[in-house]
Amino acid sequence: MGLIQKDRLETIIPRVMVYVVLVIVSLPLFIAYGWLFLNSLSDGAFGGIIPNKFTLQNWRFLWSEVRIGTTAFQSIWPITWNTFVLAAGITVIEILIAALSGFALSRMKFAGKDLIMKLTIFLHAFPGVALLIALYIVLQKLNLLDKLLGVILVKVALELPMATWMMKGFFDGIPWDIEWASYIDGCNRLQTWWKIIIPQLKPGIAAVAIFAFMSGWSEFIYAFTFIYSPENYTLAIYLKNLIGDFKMLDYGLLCAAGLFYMIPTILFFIFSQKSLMKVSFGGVKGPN
Amino acid sequence: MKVIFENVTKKFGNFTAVDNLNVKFKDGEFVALLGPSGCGKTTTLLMIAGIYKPSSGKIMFDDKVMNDVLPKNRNIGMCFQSYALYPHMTVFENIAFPLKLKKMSKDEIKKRVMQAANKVEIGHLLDRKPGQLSGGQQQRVSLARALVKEPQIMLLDEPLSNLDARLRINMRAEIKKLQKDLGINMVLVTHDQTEALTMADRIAIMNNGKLQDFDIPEELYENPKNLFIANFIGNPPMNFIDVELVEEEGKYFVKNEVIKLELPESSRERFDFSSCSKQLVLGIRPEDLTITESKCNTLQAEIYVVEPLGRDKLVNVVIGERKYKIIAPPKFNADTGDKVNISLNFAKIHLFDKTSEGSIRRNRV
Ligand SMILES: Nc1ncnc2c1ncn2[C@@H]1O[C@H](COP(=O)(O)OP(=O)(O)O)[C@@H](O)[C@H]1O
Ligand SMILES: [Mg+2]
Repeated sequence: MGLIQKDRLETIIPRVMVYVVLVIVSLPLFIAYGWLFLNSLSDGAFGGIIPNKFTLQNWRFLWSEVRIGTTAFQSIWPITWNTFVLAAGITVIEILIAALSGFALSRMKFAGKDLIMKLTIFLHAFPGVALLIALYIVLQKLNLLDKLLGVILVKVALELPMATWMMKGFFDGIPWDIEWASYIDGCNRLQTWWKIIIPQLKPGIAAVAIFAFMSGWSEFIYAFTFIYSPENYTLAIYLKNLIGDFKMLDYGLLCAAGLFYMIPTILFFIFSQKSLMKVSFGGVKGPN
Repeated sequence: MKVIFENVTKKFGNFTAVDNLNVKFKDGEFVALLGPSGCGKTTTLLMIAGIYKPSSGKIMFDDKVMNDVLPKNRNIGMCFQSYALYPHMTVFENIAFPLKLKKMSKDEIKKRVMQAANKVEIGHLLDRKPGQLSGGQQQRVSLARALVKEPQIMLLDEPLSNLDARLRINMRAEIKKLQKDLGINMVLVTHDQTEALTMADRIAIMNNGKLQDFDIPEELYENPKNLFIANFIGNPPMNFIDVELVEEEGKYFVKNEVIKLELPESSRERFDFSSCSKQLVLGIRPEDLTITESKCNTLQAEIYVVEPLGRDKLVNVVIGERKYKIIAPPKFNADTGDKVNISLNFAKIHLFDKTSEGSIRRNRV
């Protein structure tokens, strides 16, 4: 065996090992998703490994009313729209506030800044579920119960600390010199924020937005607790209701609906991998 | 426009970055802020720009106190050490940015940007992003961005530090020419004494946040006020010898274990021997030392190494334990270990108090 071949082998083996490990780790996930997909297209498989006859019946919720036993489910499209409104609402409000508060925490000097920073972490560590009853009362008082806006505000409030910290990390990464140069060039603070800082922050904003959207899309507990009119349901509640009656459970339908629910999430991940990689916390501390 | 610092101090927490600065820049003057890294040059510059507020004291432009005036209202152009170009804008947009903020018309902006870009020879790069430029090109973009506003004061923070040697020498002349053409105030921050000496009308030399002296380059070079200035200005640097001052039979000598030199009569006029301490540091520049035959009132040294500099030769010698540098004519030849005599140009010697580090030169009237 020549030297060159030996060297080549030495570079190839580690690479092969990496692939082997990655395949082993991701195989269960692949199998699970594959099973879900196949089942959603098969007739009458009761959680079996091998799908039966091909059918589109399980996807009937897309074009017709669904009945399980005596319960009738309304069309999935308004519910999808509700879910989208919820996720998008959370995203937009969270980004707007976090971009401003992160800027302030990163760049400005004011009394109580350290305290605020610590409190936000504390808030983040606080289990949101423990607030369920208190939030219920608050929403009731504000007349926001059974409204998407109510859930949106609750979610934003609970996620804002984390989003603010992430944003602060991204702001910290922008050199002071560039900001100073813009002040000398004639910007006021707001102009600097909008024309100089935000454009450089796009990857950071994208990352925070993705997290916010995902968590909004998959939100269950608050939506389930605070919303009770069917016209305000979200997909998570819809899925929960599908399982609602165990005796009548239609697994094919559940697989299809579950898959439908996941599609945006999967698409989002595929298109945003790069931005997600850039997420980092803390970062350099600038002067002042 | 005059720029005046009155008792200006800048503190970061407990740390004093600029300590009680009092200085006055004349209208249209080219000033260099010179000093080692960390001495407070950038902090001083940023106070002129209005980015930092003095912790105490006043900064005035002519007779207007500027402490509370925002940077955008100061009509300043600044080049940062890091260039600080906006990475998401093209070169054109970078240069146009200050003008856009002034709500100038598109045509006017275009005209001015082209002018500024051509002045620093980057007219062909206008469509690129800063990330696609070399250090020297970015440098010139930041110069153009500062120039395009036609500011009353230009602030340059180590503008040439990242350029290669040839470009640096060219840019030195370009910047100086620019300043003279425009007749604006220019403040140049640098730790490179050659840059300061060649470009500035006057040099403010700083150390540890304190102003050491503010004077024309010749004066700083010929008559340094203290050891720090003597050491910092001049390349190759001044030679220093620790000596003791003794008076014998009405004559003054400086001596240590290995040398003893008689000071000429004339030195009494230059130096104030009566009130100074006896422990001194004698300073003499490499060009004020000559290698001679004479053994009278000279230093005995051994050649350490000879470095040809092109125009002349830099001779390193050892006296006792310490090494000294001498500028010799190009025809000088010697080998390591040769014994030589060195005479001093006594009219050009400097004497400093060893404790206070101040020159014991008499103040001229
Ligand atoms: N924003 C700041 N916070 C704390 N210390 C600072 C800050 N800016 C500068 N310093 C300190 O002040 C001193 C002078 O800094 P600077 O003016 O940048 O020096 P230089 O002469 O190298 O430009 C340095 O010791 C630096 O560490
Ligand atoms: Mg500096």
